[in-house]
Amino acid sequence: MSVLEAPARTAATVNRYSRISLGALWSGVAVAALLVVAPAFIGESSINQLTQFFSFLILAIGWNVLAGYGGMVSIGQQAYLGVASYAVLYLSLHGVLSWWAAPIAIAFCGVLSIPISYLAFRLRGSFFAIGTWVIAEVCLLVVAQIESLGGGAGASLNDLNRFSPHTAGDVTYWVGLAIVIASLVSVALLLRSRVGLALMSIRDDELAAEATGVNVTRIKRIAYVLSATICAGAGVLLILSNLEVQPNSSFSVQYSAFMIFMVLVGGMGTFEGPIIGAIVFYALQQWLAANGAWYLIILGAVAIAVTLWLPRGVWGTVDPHNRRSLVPLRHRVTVASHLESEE
Amino acid sequence: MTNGSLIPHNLFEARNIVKRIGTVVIADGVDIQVPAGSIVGMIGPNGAGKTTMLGIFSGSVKAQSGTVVFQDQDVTSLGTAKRARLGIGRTFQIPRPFDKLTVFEHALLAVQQARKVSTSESHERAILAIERCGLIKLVNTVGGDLRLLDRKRLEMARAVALDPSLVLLDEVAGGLNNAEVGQLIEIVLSLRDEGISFLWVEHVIRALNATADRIVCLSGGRLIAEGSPAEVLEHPAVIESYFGSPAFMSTAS
Repeated sequence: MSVLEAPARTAATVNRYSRISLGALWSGVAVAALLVVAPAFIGESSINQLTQFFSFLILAIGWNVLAGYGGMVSIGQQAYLGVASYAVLYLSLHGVLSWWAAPIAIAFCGVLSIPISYLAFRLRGSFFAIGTWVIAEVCLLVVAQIESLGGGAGASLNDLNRFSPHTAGDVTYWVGLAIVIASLVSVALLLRSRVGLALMSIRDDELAAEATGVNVTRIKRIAYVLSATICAGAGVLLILSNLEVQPNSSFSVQYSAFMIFMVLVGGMGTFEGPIIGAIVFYALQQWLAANGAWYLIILGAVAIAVTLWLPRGVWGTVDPHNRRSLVPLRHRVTVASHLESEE
Repeated sequence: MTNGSLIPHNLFEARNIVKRIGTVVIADGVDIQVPAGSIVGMIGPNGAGKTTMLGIFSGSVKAQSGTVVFQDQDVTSLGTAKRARLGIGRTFQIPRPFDKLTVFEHALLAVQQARKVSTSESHERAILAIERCGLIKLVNTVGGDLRLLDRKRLEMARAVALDPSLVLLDEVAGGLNNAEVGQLIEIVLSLRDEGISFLWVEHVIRALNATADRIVCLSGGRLIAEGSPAEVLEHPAVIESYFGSPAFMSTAS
């Protein structure tokens, strides 16, 4: 008989839902329900702004899975953003309605990320970061060679023109909302699973995780593929709302800067961080959009200030030990007191 | 045990290990055996490479040559995670807790990696490992909030939750006071009684004296002494490697 098969002296029950997480879950459902019916109440331009916001939020969620939980700092996730945008364009040119092309493009990027991960995982740390950027640049150069997709000049997505701008805007908004919800739910489910516990252990201490039996490379690959799939969601949403693509902007490294900004400000390796970061980023962008170059200068100043004074980001400062997590990720153990006192 | 002979069955064996880092010789053909159900202590002066040896045994450090055998299986080419899942647990000299995971989650992670069991059984096993290492009152505390003794216990609990046959301990008694060392000794002895063997690198001689069946002393890439705690601790070569010449010893005491 092994040590762990002896009868326990302690009776314990494990609870995963706290009052905070149950409250947050229902609030989340309520917010999602409100957002679903929003197009009936608010104007077209607000809806389009929300769609823009969704694409940044999705990017932040995707980058956080990779860098925050997996400890893999990538500056090349725009590869999946660009490939997904172009996949939608390609499918629409071949008779698939763009909205239906969205899930296919996302799935394609998820599958594509598996072989790419074998290439990228040969590198570590800062070499990994630069390697991912190189991969993104290679994707750009390849796509820019394809004349049928507009080559270096880009192309527009025309198949949604047969709908009124109002209808097109609303449907794209709903597609975006669906991608946001799917991203959040899939990250929450992943983190609640065995893989999620292993991923959080890697986030805290990779070497100790390995000594505890965690197959670090396998778990990281899962995080990489999920991250690529989510970032592809943002690419799909960007082409659906902008109705055009251009290689240099779709594969722009600027998206990586935005992702890093949002996740650092919100709180790396927390579920809530990217949501907060995306709201801050979008608010700043709206507020400063009219000020030209000042926009980027202030963004940079905010990033420096947060790194110096809030190194854990907003949510990481509010909840440094992940005790008040809004998602039911934790295991709260209740030990029966009469048994405990016998010790 | 399958062999009924008087020769104890070796749970773990390192054969002819050679390891050099730069010009420093850590091991120059070292053999170490851990018989099933025993506690083997490893001592040696600072810088002798004891932690590196544990790394070679656990799979995190590659030796230049030599073979590592665990439960009659050659595990030399297996990495740390695979060896951990096979049943070689390890603790770190400087504790490496998962800062944001609770004590329970540390143990649960290990249970889940070691074998596929139902959710309720995995919870029971995690609680048992925590209970064995005296951490049950801190079951919901996150690793980053623990004090040193509890971090050391957490290292043990995480290793024990793997349901290991062998645990490699790296100076778990270091930095603890006398009473705390006493508690640690009790935990190790009770785990040994339940079937876990230990290879224990330690500077706190008292802890090894109270627990080890055998002690080996690593110095200059060789085992300069090997035997019962009393034999090894009085071995002239050991005294010399630790304290200098015997003449110095007599004046010092």
